[in-house]
Amino acid sequence: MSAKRPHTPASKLPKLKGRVPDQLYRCGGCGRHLYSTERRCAFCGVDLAKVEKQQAKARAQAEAALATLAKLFG
Amino acid sequence: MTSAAGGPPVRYVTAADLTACRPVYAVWEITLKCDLACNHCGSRAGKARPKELSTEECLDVVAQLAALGCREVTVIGGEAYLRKDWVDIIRAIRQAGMDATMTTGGRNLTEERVQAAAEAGLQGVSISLDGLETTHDRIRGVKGSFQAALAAMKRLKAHGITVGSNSQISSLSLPELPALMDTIIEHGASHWQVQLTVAMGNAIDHDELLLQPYQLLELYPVLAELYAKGLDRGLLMVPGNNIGYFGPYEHLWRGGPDRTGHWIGCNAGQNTIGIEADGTIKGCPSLPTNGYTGGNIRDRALLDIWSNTPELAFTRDRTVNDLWGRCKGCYYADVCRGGCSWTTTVLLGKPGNNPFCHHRTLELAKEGKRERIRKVKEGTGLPFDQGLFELIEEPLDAPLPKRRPSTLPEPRGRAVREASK
Repeated sequence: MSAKRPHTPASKLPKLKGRVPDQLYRCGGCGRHLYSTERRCAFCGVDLAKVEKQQAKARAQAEAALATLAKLFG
Repeated sequence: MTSAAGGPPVRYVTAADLTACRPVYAVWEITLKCDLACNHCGSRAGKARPKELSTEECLDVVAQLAALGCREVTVIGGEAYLRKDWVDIIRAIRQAGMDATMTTGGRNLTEERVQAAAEAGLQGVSISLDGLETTHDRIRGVKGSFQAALAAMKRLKAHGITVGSNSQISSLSLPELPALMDTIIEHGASHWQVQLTVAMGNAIDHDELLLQPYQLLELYPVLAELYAKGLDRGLLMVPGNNIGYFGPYEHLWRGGPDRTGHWIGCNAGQNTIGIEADGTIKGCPSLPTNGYTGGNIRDRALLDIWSNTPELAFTRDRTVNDLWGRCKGCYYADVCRGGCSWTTTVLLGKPGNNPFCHHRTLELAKEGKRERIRKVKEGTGLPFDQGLFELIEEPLDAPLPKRRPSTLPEPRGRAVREASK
């Protein structure tokens, strides 16, 4: 059956080039997906850099608190 | 299901797969013969197609899929197990180094069949459950089909095959989803694929089963709650391609373990390939045959069809300019590109404008609006046919027309089991 079928050699076929879509990021305020070029959230309007800074600070505080607890409880 | 090595399913697409346009996942209707009579069946399955592929031709398809870089083949029907050589096809898929899975209603998935499939290397089976017993039997058109499906889940589990379930979300199953999830968990499923019933085939004739776009406002919070409850109980909810897009729950549906993933557009013809039982090749198994057939495996090599036909390349070449209606001006247009091509093609006649989108229904609601669909043209009655619907935009609080009473026939009585023939 394969013999009857016209077969284009792989080398003669067009090399396919697929699209890799943009990676979106979630707004630290409302959680909606955003393009990486945004400075403000297109949905809730927050300043993305400011929110990221606030969240980094909160994360650092939480990690410090956990480290203190770990020390206290051995 | 997870891969044999316990990682994510091999069908998951990597950046390298995207770049190379590699068909990593094949869904293959190996026969259109079916032992159910589903009122929503897009392929109007029942009898075998006139010229289904021979065993030799099927084994050749397996070899060509493997050569193209395919990593998982899901056999479907009709009912895949009604082909006498279905186990030989599964064995060949495994021997070619690909994962072999099956989606089925499970009505006659007998002990003998399960045992033979397990020995051949079948790794995972997704059993279709479209509501609780009364609803499922009514939609599937056969009394006893719900209980038969549950029994099949137990049998599969006993043979070490990964068991999942898949459910159509219709106007009938929507209120039953929480109880349905309980049943699915109780019967050992590890994952649950959910998808909206689509206006194709028999579902055109029974369009009262279709949700209205504005009902996504009700559906998605329920799904999100079930997603969390399911995870706590060991069940992963997996969204079908027409679930989405980019609403507040997108990170749940497609985020992955680190919650960074999201919908990246219709994958038909990019990393997914669909095969009909007579050798017809499409970019996605669900797409209409008419207009989306790249060729037939009997006439051309699979690589040739995959590489050279516009019917398979339509998503590779799609740009924002191909979108229309609300999708064209959407914030997510460039990434989303209109959601599921199948859902919109069979609804509105062409892809690129998808009213079944959570983001869109939310934005409309903010404007005090909603969208509703209304059938304006019946289908042709052929497998994978389509009708035509019109899209009505109206105030959110406009009175709704009376819903037409269901035209679903009563399920037929338990037929003599085809079972162990």
